[in-house]
Amino acid sequence: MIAGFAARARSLWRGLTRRSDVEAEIHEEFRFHVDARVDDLVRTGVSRAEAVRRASIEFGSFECLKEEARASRGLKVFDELAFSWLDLRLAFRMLRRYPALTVVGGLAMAFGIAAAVVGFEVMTQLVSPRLPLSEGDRIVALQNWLVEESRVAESLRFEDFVVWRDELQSVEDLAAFRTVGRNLIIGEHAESVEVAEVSAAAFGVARVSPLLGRWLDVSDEAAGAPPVLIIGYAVWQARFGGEPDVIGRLVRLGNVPTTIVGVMPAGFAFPVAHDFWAPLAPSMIDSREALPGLVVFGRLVGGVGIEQAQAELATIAAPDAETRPPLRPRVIPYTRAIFEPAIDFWIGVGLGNVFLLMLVLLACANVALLLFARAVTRETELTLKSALGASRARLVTQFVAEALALAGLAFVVGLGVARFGLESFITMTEVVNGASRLPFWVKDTLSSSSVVYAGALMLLAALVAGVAPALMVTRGNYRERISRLTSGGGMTQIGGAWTLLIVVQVAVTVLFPAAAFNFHRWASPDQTMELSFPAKEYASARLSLNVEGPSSFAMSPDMGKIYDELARRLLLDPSVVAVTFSSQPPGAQHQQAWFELDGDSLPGQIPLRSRASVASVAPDFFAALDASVVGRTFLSAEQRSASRVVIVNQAFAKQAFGGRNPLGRFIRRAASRTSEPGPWHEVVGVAPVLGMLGNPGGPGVYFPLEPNSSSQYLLAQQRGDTASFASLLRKVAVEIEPNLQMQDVMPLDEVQANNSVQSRYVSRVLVVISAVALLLSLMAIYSVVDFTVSKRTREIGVRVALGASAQSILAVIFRRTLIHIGVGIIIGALLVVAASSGMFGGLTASEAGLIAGYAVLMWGVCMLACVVPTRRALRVHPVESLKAE
Amino acid sequence: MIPNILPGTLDLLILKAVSLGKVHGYGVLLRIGRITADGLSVQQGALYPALYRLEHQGLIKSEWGVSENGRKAKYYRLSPIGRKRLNEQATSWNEFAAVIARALSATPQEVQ
Repeated sequence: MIAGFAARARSLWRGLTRRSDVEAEIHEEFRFHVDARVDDLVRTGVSRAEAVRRASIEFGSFECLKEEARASRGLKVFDELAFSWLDLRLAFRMLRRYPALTVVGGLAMAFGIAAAVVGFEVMTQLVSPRLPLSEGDRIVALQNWLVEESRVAESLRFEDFVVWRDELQSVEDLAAFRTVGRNLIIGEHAESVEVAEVSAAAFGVARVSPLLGRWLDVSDEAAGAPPVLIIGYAVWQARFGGEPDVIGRLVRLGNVPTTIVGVMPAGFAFPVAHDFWAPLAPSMIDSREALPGLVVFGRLVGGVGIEQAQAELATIAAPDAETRPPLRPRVIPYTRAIFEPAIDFWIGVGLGNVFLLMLVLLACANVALLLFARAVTRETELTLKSALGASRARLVTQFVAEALALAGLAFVVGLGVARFGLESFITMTEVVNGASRLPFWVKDTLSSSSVVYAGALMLLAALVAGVAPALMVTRGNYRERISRLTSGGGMTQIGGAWTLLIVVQVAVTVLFPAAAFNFHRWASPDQTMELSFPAKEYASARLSLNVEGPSSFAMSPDMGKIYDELARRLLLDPSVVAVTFSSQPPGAQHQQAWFELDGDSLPGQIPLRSRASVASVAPDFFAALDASVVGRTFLSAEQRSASRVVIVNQAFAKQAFGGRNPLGRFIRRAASRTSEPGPWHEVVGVAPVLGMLGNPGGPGVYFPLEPNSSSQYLLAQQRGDTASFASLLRKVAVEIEPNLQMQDVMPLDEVQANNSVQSRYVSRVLVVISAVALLLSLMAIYSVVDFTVSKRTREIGVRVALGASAQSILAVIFRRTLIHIGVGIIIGALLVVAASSGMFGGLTASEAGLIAGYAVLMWGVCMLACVVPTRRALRVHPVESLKAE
Repeated sequence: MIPNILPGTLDLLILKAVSLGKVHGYGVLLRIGRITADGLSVQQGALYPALYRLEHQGLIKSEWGVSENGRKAKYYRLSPIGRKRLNEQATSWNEFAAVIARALSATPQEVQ
């Protein structure tokens, strides 16, 4: 039994994989037979010519016998399933003959494949990021694990790094980096940049040589060494015009004159997404101080695994261990030190991919419906093919070939769309991340495994879309089918599964745009708000002061003076109308807090707290935004002392005070609903709502701005374009304080736009999906109606002949389709209502009207799909239709 | 007239012929002629699909060798499962033939 099975498998395998060898052997064996027979005949006295003739006749046709030989080896079914050129040519001819189906079906598959491939690519890049560096998988990072809190320590001490570097044997080229913000000043031009302060040893880790000049050297790290800077290729091109004499150029980082000593090649952004590299000099660092953002990394020594390195690291005691919380150092792959998502993130990514795969299958099911409806119209052809001897397997193969041709087109288009989709997804992620670049190992190109995945999806799509309709159309033996065919009338019916598909589809086309709309509505209170002042005229910039040198020795300059000077100097420029400062610009997401009102609760009762955005603002903030405050604004003196005054906005006054006059009342702030509240503050003013995003309606509370806070926003109203304002701002700022950095300089309307990038992206994706679903529904409805009309041509003819009116004919033909569309729309609308009331606690009359209107619109659009077949049905001439059969 | 071979018996004859010793395709044909005393006609080409089917089922094995006239030829021999199958089929054929022979020799008296 088993031996027999093994023999069959072996023979099958050989027949499939070494087809030409097997054929040659058969031929040779036949030849031998015939020759031997000829010899025998000659020996009996027959002439050679006659012997050859007789032997050939006795043997039979080589080709027929070869065919039989293949069949007896069980290869026939494979021969039938194998595609021939003819199959593919026929398939492409079908694509040309039915352009609507080709475009709609191909697009549906292409979008499905594209979405699934983007999801897959994102997943592979997150799950197994590959460092595009020589032996990138041997690069590791070292971290401290806080045993008691069971989390990674956010900061390391420089001395930890030093101990590891000096003692750890299993990791070589141990290096560290941190990112610091600096003002890069080239001549007159200043810009704020992120510099990687990195150990010279990082060269051994990255193994990338500079394009020009040199990499950092250990001597650069010595105390008193002249400051040096290495720049990236893009910076070299943009700032220095790609000139080779950039080496040796003197620039300033803040107020430190620095020499450019090297240019790195294009694409090099190690350690994460950096364009500037400066030495991580121990002399500039207090080695006992915790350094946030310090990352220690190196290369595993050849032949050492990550576990061995971990084991060795565990034996090295942390410096000063007795005074620190219990630490457990650990070795992890490098990329995980930069980005390590939580477990539910993985689950989300996995589920997302499953969802996308379902989307592909849904698209394929649709294409299957379209192919099925078309196949039914080709029933005569298929039945004839069966009658001429084509087996069912052969016919199914041809269907799959057609679906494969379609899927092949979808594969090509889908990869293009996926490439574009991946780029836009990455851009969106970068904007959401505060316009910073993603790590250098994140690529916006599709990896080969994603292309393979797309190929697999293409085959899956061809099978799903091709096999099901083929099996349904070729059901039963051909004699039955011929008799049904000749007796006229419908034979294959659009079955329950297809009906369900159409209903679901129509429901989806109603649901998805509504979901997009609802999503927008749900996200927008937090992300956009009508601003009462002309946001375009205002620019905001984040100010921060990064001082070179060991932070414990850093002078703490009088920030208040710097800001005052900045405002004074800017106002000297005729284009600047007003300047003010705040902790957050209007239109940005604000920090949230909970507020308790005085006298709002009885003793012993838990006081009510309301949630509101908070911001700290300068006294002239409201005046600069042309906002009139009821009561009074802050006084200059209130900035300096710990004054207990606040200004609330109208939304807060309405929500928390219920319309009573808040002036003179007291409120106190808490970080959460339950945490300990702070001291009481008196409400001294009521301001209009000025874009404090974070809560529906935008309730907010303003505190006086501490002028000495080292990070805050500058707001300036100006005439003229914002671009020139940015350079003016940088120039003035650098003149006052070279270390004062300006980041995110942009008009206020852009601040707001950036908030909603993510939700707009999601809305847009939903709209695209809806559009594809709508297109598919229309196509499906069209096909089904068209199918019905062509199946019932004779019936229509008879009815017309008997004097039926156009109306009654339409009623007969379209009743079912109308019911399907209606059911789909009602289900969709019910889902929309359920989802909206779940999210917003009910619908307003106008929203209900909107949904109803939309449903009617959808119904009308669906009806449009019936127009062409309807005209065809009404034009049926009784005599013609009967003749046609 | 030489009778045509009964359906299903060609396989049995091939197995028998091959069981008598390693042999090439043409040899199988000659050997069937000899053991049936040329009493059956086998269409020459029809032999091969049957041979391949038996080989595919693992009942016979093949290898390339050199024939008596010095040419390359494919030789067949019986496999262990082929031998088992031959024995089974021979037994059932004999029983079948005996029953049929018995039936055909029946006289009117027997059915009285």
